[in-house]
Amino acid sequence: MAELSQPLPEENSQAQGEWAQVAPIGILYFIHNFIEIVVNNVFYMLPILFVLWDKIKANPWIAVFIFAGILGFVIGFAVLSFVFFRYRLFDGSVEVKSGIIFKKHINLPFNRIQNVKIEQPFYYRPFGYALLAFDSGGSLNQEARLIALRLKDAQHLRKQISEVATETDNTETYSENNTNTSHVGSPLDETVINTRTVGDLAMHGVTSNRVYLLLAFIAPFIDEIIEYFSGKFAGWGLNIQSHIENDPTWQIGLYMVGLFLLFLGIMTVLSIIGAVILFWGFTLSKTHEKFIRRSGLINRHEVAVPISRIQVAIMKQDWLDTIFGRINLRLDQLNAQANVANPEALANKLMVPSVFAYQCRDILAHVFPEHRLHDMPFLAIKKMFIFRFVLWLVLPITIGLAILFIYHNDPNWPALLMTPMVLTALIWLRWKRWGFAYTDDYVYIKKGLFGVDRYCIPVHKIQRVAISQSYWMRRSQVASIKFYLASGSYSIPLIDETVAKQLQSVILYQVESQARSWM
Amino acid sequence: MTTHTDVETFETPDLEIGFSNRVIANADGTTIHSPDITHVSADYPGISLLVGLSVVAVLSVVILGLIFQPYFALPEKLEYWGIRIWGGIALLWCLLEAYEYGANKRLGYCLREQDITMFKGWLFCKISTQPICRIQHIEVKQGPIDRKIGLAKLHVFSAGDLTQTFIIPGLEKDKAEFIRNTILQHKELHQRG
Repeated sequence: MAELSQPLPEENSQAQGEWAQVAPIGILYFIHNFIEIVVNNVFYMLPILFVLWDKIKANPWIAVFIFAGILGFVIGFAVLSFVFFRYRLFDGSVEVKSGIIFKKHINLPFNRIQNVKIEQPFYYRPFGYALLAFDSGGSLNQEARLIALRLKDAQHLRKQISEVATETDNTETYSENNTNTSHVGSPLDETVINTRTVGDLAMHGVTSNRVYLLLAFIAPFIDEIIEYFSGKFAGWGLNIQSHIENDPTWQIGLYMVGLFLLFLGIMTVLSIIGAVILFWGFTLSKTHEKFIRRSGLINRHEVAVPISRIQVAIMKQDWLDTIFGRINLRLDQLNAQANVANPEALANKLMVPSVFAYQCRDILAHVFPEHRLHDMPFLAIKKMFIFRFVLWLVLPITIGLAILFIYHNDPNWPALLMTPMVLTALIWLRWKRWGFAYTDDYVYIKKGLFGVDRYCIPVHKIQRVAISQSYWMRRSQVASIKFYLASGSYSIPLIDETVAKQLQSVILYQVESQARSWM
Repeated sequence: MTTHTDVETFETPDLEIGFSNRVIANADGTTIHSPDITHVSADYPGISLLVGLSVVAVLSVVILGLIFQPYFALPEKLEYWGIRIWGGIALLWCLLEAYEYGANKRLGYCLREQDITMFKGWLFCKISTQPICRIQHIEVKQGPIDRKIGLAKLHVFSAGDLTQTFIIPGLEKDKAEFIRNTILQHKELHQRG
């Protein structure tokens, strides 16, 4: 590690026109990156570990070899990534070449840079290095990162680029692996408009936990898991098999419920911890033209977004949120929907966790001043929605089940009756949740199943409108409408044809006659 | 088919002074809902059908050739199911192509001063409208077959559409160029730079 802390050659700060390498400490970043990928995908690797577990137990040396192999691979990968990483600032743009097998060449003109972000992972801090990330705001793989620069070089570069790109109104964000925010200069006009207490965060952890996702993941392996544990318990003098065969049903049911609750409890605790780590010390502040979100216990994140860049406001409520009266407010920017799969995206999003309705309304008023999301009466969509899903979903499933039941001569026909009833009830619930409303300036959408999401879409930011209709919809004079925004697309299914067309006319007229900027 | 020599002077009703959205290069028609659709090239549906069916035919020859070639025997089950499954896929594919043919015959567009609208579909139809002031960039593309018969595709990009681009296929090359140039000359695009 000693040579990593050696001073950086001076010419690296002068990367004008010539391809330059970053500091060797960047290897640590590549290792960190790789480990992060592994940790994020750990769920997918668990089954492999599970399968291999017995073999590993029988011969611990295998584990050592596997571990050493993986470690060697990671380090080799990181070193090679570092060796192949080149960057230059040339002709008004940042160019980055990277990749071992799949070469990537990014060319990002200064004036297209929307975000310049300086990050300092904890292992960079003692040596005074930093990472500079540029966000083009366009396509996702156009994000350029200069992996390891000296902090003052990075700051200098950022300043230089910002000067070039001032007319494009770029954002600067600063995030640090420490709560020390002394050199994050706060502009004088900045006012804090929302903070979250630990209680709020715990609430967020409770209401939006990922248990269901995990359950869905575990389902295919349930047989193996039961087998494995019953083997385990037998070793402890507990015979599950005999319990299941001999105990009364209610007792088994009780065991199951108990286990489930225990599981739920553990998951909830984990979820709360996650929420607290991510949103610790949450503040949302506002300058005259930007929202700044700061949060994080371990990685301190600071995200600044110009208010004019916000495309849509989404109020998300899971079913528990509806009981507790909390709302997760999200203010989406460019390409927000494409970003959803990226776990880092949540940390970089403008999101306010578990606020009350009145707080939500106050925050929203800063972004979309005339919005009426809180008291707008929503209109229902057509009941044809229920009919459509019964026809295309419930009917085929029921017929399939019926065939299976008859084929196997199964006596459990009440189950056959239950399925379509439950499904239809769910569809009815979904229909009940759907709603829409519009004025000249905003379109509102409401949807959900157990929870409910409300969307507030400013008409002047709409990029494109589409109306679609099937032959049968045309005959009943019903149509669906879809809006495309820079953040993604949003649709309202099955409304009156005349309403859809009127809505389309209103939108087109507003967009085309005002030609207001959507940025 | 109309020519695009003249811009018709037909005012859209109940709009403010200073805002007009007349149909360009079309006979008449006012709102999008009673529009004047210019259909794409009359050759396009047939050619598109021909290309689609050729793909099915070539794939069929390859797959059936693989099954019935004299050099080595495939497992009996694979042979039995291979033919049936491919038959099913090919049939569905042909039906889809037939539907596409019908849909392509109805494929059209309407260029107005402020926006461009595409009408597509037959049993399932879709009317998308792209305001010109929201267009990021625009491309005229020609594949090898397109080049042979003088057709082109018009790609219109707006912000944030990574997956759902607005594409009008089967336009005569000069028509596509005309639409592109008309849109590029739009004043809103110049204002934004």
